[in-house]
Amino acid sequence: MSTELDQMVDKVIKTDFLIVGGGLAGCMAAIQAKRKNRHMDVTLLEKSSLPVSGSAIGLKDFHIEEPGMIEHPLPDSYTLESARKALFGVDRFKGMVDVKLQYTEMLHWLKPLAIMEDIGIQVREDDGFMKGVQTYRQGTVWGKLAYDENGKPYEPNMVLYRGSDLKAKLSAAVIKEDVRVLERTMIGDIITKDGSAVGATAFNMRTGELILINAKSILIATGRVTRLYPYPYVMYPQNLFYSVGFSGNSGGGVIAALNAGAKIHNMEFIWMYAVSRGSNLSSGSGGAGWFFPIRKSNGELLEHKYPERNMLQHGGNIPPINFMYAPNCKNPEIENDYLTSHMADAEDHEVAAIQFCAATEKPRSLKFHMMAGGVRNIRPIEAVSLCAGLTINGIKRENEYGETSVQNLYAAGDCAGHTAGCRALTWGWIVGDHVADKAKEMEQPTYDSDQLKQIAASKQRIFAPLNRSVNYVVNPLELEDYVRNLNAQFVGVHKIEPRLKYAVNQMRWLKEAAAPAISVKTHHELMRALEVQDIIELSEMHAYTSLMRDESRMPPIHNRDDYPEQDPKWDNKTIVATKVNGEIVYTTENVN
Amino acid sequence: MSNINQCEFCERPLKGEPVQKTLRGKTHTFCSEFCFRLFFYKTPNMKYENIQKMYAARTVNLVPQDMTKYLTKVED
Repeated sequence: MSTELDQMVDKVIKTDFLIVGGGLAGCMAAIQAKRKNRHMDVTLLEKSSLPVSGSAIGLKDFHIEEPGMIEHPLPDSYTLESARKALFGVDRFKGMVDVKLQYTEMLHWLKPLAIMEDIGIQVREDDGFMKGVQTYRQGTVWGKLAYDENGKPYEPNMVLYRGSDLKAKLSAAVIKEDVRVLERTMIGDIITKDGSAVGATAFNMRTGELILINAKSILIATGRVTRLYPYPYVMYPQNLFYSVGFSGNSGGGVIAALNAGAKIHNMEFIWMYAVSRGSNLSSGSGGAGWFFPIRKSNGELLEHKYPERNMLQHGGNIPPINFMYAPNCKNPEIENDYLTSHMADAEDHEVAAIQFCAATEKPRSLKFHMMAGGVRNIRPIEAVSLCAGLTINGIKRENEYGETSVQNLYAAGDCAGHTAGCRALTWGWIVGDHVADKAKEMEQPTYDSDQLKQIAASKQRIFAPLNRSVNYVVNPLELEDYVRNLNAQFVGVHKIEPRLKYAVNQMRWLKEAAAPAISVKTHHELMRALEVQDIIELSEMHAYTSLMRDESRMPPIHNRDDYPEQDPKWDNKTIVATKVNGEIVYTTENVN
Repeated sequence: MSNINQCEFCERPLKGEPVQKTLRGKTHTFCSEFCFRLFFYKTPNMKYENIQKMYAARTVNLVPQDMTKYLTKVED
């Protein structure tokens, strides 16, 4: 058996715990697992370089985004009801997020924070206090303090701290804990045995080395699916790598989980961000919409007209606060106007808030603000343009340990939907803590002929586009550009049945006709070839589930022009995609 | 010449280990990565007092708990 394996792969690694993705969730899982069980062998796969990867990192690199402005909720007073409220208007979220998982998360929220403080991240200010912000009550992380009738500030539910060095210190801690880190290495496929994950294939995008990792447990922490939509204000090809999240996150982990038999849910929901046109996609630029007065074309201040900041037909504040000014498809007054943000009117503390925000998120947001003339730029800029942002879709977790429907396969972070930032840290901690205990009782998996077949098929799939002989060569980046524009034009915000059907058919056609014509010369391009195939599959799921959900829910996240109302029949229901015999099958499941 | 006892950007007295960066052959000292970024991108008007103003307008002071109780004791 080992001879056969040796012929198929370049390297075999046996490990107790394989972590795919070195962002917040992956790093925290690795640290906690090693702290709980220091004899455990932990391997971490990172497609990029560990200190500079993931959605929580900032570096002076155009492709790397979002260092860690992390808000950390305080769990002491939380109940299940708090969990519901924390979902930012649970009525609209019905059926989209499992509240019990949310509650589990809250019970553990302080634990990663303790680790972060332990490794030297400053989570409290010089005066010794943590800085709490009120979020869901006002619908914004950044709003001014709100007070109750007795003049007392409402209880804050998150801590705000300066976390620009978060990822650097986390990755240093991972190395210090003696975790095996494989950088520039991308997951191929998950190997399963009797419904349980037993390993994974991966390839090094610099050397082309195919690695087989035999693992007792696997955590998928590959982050948010960020590359389904283009950012229209940056020219090709940069718009492929210019999004709200870390643009390395193509959804590879989600597709690997899907292929392994895990359930993927909520693919119809892509959060839409409204940002300042001409600026970039960060909270810093979003901040222009948050803090700076936004005026209609007739000069009317929106904040005066909508003091409650409730602009959507379905009601309620939708955080992040920049949602409230989104072209919401329901308010012609907003939709059919030209809105501008007026930075020059901002007060000092508002400017400071934006700079704080930008400096702790993507550093390039600050750079772009500076290039545009500074955050006090006197020229009004168009306030609203739309792009896909955060997601609540991803791998469905089945229990309080973050385990998926495939045994020993876990998901944490934004690839599991709505678990970014502090949530990613928390779920990373939960999974790492659980797996550290479980690994003591587990045997190293063995492979038989079925697993060898899977490995061979994986190898064939991974390397197929390399120097492929085709009549017409499809470039993976051009294909990705095409797919993302298809999503923007035929799915997007204004979803209607005929366009959605076209998008589904087009994606299926691309899988059959375009993907087999991708041919690349280098291993780095091979990564792009695999990514775009994942993006096509994710796009198909996105279009199909959007078609299935014949209602609008929390527009503009899921807005069907032909079904403009929220339909109670969809309350507490989620659309689940699974793969059966190579075909994606869609079903609905009850949540909560 | 800058005062080495304070952050080059926000002028906050240095506490703990400073962040040192070398840019074009010159070493700069900051209190945090946060301040380095603001310095690097030439952000104006962001002294520590600005941050304090922002905190005052937007945040509530919380007395931190002892979080060390949440740390897992490393096994031998």
